[in-house]
Amino acid sequence: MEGEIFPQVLWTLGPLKITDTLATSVALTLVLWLTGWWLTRHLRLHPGPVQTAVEGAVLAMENAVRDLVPRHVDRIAPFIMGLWWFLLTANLIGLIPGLQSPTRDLSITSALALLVFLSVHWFGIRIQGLKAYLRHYLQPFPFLLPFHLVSEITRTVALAVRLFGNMMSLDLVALIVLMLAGFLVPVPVLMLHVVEALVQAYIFGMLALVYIAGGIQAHEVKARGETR
Amino acid sequence: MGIEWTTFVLEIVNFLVLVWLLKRFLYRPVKSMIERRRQEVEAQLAEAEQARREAEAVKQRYQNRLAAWETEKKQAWERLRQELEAERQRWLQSLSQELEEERRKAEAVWQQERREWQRHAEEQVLNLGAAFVARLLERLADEHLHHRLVDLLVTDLEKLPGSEQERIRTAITGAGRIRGVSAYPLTDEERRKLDQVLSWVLQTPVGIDFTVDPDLLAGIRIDLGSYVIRANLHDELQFFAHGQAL
Repeated sequence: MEGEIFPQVLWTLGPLKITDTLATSVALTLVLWLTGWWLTRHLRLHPGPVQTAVEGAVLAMENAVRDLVPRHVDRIAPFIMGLWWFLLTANLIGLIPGLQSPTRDLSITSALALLVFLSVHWFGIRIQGLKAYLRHYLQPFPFLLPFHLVSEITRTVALAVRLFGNMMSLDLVALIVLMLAGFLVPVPVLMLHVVEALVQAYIFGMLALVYIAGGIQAHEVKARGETR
Repeated sequence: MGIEWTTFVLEIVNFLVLVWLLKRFLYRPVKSMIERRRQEVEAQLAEAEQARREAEAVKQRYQNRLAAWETEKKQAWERLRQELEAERQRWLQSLSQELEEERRKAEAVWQQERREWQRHAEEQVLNLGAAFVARLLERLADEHLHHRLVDLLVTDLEKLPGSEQERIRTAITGAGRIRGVSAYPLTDEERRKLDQVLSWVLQTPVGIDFTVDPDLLAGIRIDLGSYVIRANLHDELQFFAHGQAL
């Protein structure tokens, strides 16, 4: 049971330990890349059903980004879109027998959370400049700086732990129900897994977007004021 | 359950690679295609708008032309009506003139016929009158009347104006001896008076050869060449019958 719940080391190359979650994650990367390449290989002005669905998904994600950061869509959208595509497939791949969701590994979710943490600062500094970006930690009052710093750390940790905890718990519950009740009984739990996987992917990506937007908020507000 | 740092680091790399791959092979191509489609749609919308404007312009031109045609049609109808009215007036005038001409012709013919009829009636009246007078004079004619007419002739010749005398002298130039005809034999006194008065008129002594013709009824006729002196009932009746006496 432990092997079905916790990540397993597949290969050890010196100090490097390749876990099954990492292998699955890399495989998902390859699959997403090849799928994206295949879908966009023959794009046409008059799209078919598949192209329409892909374009609809891309536009939906882009519009979600545009609602929060309308002036930096092209810069931020690929990162948020990558999170959504990856988390969606990573959360759902656990439904395939023999495969495990990479997001039940705290190392994976922590890595993604760290990337979100870094991207907030990256986009904030790139868009506002270093001084302007650091100044927002002193807003509205300088004595709030410690709270800002704690907030940065805790929300990143919460981001990682939330995704990890939800996916781990779902797998665990499904496994326990399967062991206790037998065949077909865990199907409703698996249905819940689907919903939870979609919700968690959406929440993670949306929170990342909100954090990034918060990092460049001052710049956005100023820009909107100029626009008005 | 702790963090496996190899997985942690490699996942960061893996995800960054994934973001780059999706951006390169999914996001950009899809965005590019959407942009192309948007431009295509905008171009089609622009073409449609252009076509709509052109259609509006064509429609406007068509409506203007229709209005112009309508105006031209009304003007043409008005011209045609005026021409027809003018033609009708000309025809009416021409017809009126023709009718007036016909009326004048008919009036002239009628006047001619009336004159002809009047002349005919007068001629008949004259003929009847002449016949009546002839029958009456034939009954009244006698030798006494004969002598009265001869005396009347002598008296008239004596009172003849100079111009008439000149005509008689001109008419008798080159003629031979004067011939005379009487209804009854003349007396010597009457012959003498006639010779005397004619010699006075002609300003030359003349001799008259008289013959008797009872058709004269009463009176005499003296032939002076192109001038004839008539003083008898037969010639007077003839004059009366042919209206010359009037």
